[in-house]
Amino acid sequence: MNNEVLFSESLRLRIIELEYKNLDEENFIKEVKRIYLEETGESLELEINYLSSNDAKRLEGDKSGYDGTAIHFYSEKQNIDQIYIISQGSTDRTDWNYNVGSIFAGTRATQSQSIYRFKEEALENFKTDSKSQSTTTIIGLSHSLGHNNNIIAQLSEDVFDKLYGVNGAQPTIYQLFETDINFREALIKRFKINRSDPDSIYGLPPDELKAFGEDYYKDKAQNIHQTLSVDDLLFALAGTRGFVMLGNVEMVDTNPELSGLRDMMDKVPDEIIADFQQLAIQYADASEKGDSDEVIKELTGIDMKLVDKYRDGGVLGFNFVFASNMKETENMIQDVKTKLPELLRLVRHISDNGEIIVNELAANGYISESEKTTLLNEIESVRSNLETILSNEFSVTKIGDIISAASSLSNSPDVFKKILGPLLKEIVHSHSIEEMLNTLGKENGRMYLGNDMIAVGQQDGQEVHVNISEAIRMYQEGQALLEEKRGAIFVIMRTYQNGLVEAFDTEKTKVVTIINDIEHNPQAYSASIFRKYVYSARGQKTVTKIEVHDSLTPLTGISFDPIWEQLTTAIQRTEDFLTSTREAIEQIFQKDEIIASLFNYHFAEGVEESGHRGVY
Amino acid sequence: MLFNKKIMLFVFVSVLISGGCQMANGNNQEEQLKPSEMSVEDLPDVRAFQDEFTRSFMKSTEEVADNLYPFESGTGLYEMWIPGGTVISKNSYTLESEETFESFLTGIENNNGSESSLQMTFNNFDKIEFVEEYLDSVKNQADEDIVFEKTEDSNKDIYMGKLESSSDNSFGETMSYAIFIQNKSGDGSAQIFYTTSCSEGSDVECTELVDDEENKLTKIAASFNFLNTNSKEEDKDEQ
Repeated sequence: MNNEVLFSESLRLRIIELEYKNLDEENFIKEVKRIYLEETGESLELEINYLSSNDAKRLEGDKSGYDGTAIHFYSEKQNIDQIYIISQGSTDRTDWNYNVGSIFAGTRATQSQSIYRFKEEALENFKTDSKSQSTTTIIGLSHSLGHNNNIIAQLSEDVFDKLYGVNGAQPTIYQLFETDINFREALIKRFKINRSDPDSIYGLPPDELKAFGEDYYKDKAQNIHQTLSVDDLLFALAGTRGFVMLGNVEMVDTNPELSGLRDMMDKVPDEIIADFQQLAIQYADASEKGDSDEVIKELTGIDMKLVDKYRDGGVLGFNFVFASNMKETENMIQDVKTKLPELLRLVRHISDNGEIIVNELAANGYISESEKTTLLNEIESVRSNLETILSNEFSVTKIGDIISAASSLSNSPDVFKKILGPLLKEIVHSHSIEEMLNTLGKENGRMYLGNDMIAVGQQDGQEVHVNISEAIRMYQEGQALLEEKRGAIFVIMRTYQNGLVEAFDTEKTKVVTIINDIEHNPQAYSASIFRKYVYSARGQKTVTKIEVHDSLTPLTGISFDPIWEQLTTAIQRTEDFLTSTREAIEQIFQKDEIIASLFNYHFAEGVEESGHRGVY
Repeated sequence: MLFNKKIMLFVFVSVLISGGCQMANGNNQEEQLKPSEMSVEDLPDVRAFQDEFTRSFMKSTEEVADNLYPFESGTGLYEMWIPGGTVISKNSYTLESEETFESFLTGIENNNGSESSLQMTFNNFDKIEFVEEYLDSVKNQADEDIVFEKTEDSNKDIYMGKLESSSDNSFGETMSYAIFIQNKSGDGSAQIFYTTSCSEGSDVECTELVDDEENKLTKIAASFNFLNTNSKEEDKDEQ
């Protein structure tokens, strides 16, 4: 353990996961405290400050897509002054195609400028009087693409004191060649790269470049820590062309049922990877520009929107469609002419070697034997469709043939999707933080579901899963609700006591006092008695004694006791339920110090000191 | 078959018409054509124009200064002069989807036998009040304490400095410069790393080239022009 506030892998992973939720300041800090408590059994007693990249002055107008959160932990007493910068992977995590495409291609823009500027903003924002900025430790956290950005920023300009990444996209030599001037110069010298032709670096043996890069950054990488799933596609890719793996790397098998993709990728010859890479570059470029039609257009030159127009136009409308889209049609033909031969070359190469890839997928259980056959047929069909298109003489007169071949081509993505979809889903899950958290948590009896922590225990020889986050929320909210109910009952009982019981007594006392007074001072009341009851005054008469016959009925029929009893019993029952739930959970996890102290904390402090309730 | 014949006839007629149209206004437009729209034979025998990708950024074939030609960024937010011997690395080229960030690496063949690389990083959000921080970032990237010389003009500040450590190496001689240009009439900045090497056995010594190279760099930096959003739209209208 070190003095870093987020000292464990689970803490860091959960905070990275939290960052994707785009919470506001109040909720983010609240969740950080909750996670800290759940993971350590202790409350986080220090100053916490928050800054979102959306609020950074320096990034106003920055549309490069950098999304991050800076969080500052500060305590003068504990000698803690740490800023964590969490860089978000990608704004749209579901855009897997784009992610893979651009990383694979290695062309994705690094946002290291934005990261540097955000760090400066955080330092200014979190400036404390008692400390100079130089003592602030800056720690980077990230997942996926965010790690690629962080690591490029780190290697080219030392942004962080320490960097943690999970299932990160590794940098490529080519990215670093572009962004890091000193590394570029070192490469040019070592490999005698023709300075005036930078792209000639792609012709150099990737293994040698990789070895050189890993050695060059050896010292700088000492503060980089990575946790990677062997089942993550990004890890599989990291073995391919030009990727460098830097820092202290911990490998975790998060999906033991599958054997991991890396071995498969390593079996694919480097030239095919190179072809894939080239395809990926084009694909990434195209998807940056627009939708899937744009991708097809970019790769093949076929304008699907135009093809659709022709198809919708039918036989009679064909001439009409052509007449009104003459220029587009000519352009498309020109475009297909230049792009398709190169694409076909790539597809042929991939199709010639397709069996290796598809066989590996089947052998490793990613797809079934029948899916394997379908997949191979489809690759073959794409190839033959492309060949049909190419075998045509390229002229506007052949537009009909091109369109029919293009139409048959348009079904292929669906076939690929159907088979590769579930496979991708599994692979994508292995890229997630959740799967990593669950794997790492296993030995401590922890599982994770979204932002909730689940404890795994044993009862009567059976495995029991308890959602601790949920249980504590229930316990907390239950206690708060009970408190509220007790308050309401108190108000009802007080009203009953004041308005009925005490009021009755007061009135009774008033009457009795007057009765006593009358009986003690009969003369004082003679006048009113004569006026009321003696109608003719015959001589002097005096009242010597008044005796009042009183009969005051007690207050009956409106007792609140049963109601009170009912209400308090209900409360007691709820309380018993909460307590027994808590005890049951504590019983199951009696050896788990953290869970025991979690409930203690809430019970002892959370309720007594209501100020602590803010923890949840 | 009848269907196909119909199409062919129609197509034949329409190709004639469209071809005729193009021929008719071809001459009028020639002077306004961008290099990327010109036919390869009409382009000057200059590297930047012969390379298809680089050509797409060239504004015109007119030499604006000694072997310098006008380049326009893919963002449409700035233009500058670049040496005719420039080729932009297509693989390195990055343009963010909102077109507010651009970065690329180029390789340059100089007339004097030396070669250069120029690395450009442009964004449209850097603010003048933080320029000291940006310069620190440049120093961090170079991993040395560069001494910058500042040149001001009405709408931009130019910071230029020589990298000392770069001249120490075994494979030929090199000289490197860092340039940072901050927009003053709006947000945005450009960061340039420029290195020239004189290859082993070459007739020219790097030291002899220093003045020439610095002059050229100064011209390039001075030519840098931030285009604001309005002029960007005007530009588009002109086309």
